[in-house]
Amino acid sequence: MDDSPPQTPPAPSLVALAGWLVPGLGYWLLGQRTRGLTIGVTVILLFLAGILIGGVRVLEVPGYNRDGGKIIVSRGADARWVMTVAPLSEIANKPWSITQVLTGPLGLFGFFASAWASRPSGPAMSAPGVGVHSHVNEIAVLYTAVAGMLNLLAILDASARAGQASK
Amino acid sequence: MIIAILAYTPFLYPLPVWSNRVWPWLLLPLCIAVAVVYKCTKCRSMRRVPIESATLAFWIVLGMSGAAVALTVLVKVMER
Repeated sequence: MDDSPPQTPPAPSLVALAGWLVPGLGYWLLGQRTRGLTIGVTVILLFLAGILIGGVRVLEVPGYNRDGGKIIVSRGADARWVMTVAPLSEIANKPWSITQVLTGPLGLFGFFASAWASRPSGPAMSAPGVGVHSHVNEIAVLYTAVAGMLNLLAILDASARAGQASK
Repeated sequence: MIIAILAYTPFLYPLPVWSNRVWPWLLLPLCIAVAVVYKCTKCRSMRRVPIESATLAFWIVLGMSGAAVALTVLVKVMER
């Protein structure tokens, strides 16, 4: 695989954004394609393995309850979505979501899928996905959260390399 | 158990691995992935990554196993 660096290195911020959008893409832009491909495939496989192990409902979505409905809080006479009233405390209640979203659009898609899979539907009004509370859940959360942390490591390293290359 | 396996739908249902003998093995791929990504960021040449990440994964597993043994011994001692 061609690992030759580009003539003009991209800006570190662009490399960081690319690395968030697609894990490993930041290295790819720097011409380090083998490194980017290895990291990208590893992070994506780790995230997908976590969802395979625990089911998609292992992703707890901030602002949504275990039935996939929006969490509504009452402020005086108003009833408002918790993410518009107290987003930080809601995210702090589900801290793994911070690292899971670091896998990029894949993590965001996972959040949508988790909310959908938690919502009761059909004649039996049962949720398509099954939630689990056991070691399997812990392992699955660990997989998805570590995937995000590893992608953050890759984003920081790739943008640092872009900064050094542009000097 | 059999019903859980028959009803299993990938990505919607959790893997039907409830036995305490099975789930600890799921930590192995995690250790390997951590080692591979870490060494990809640290190694100058990608040719060094396979051997270095295999070595790191081995040490992570050894360290976790050592910690598990030490904690088990501690719990057994405190139970007396």
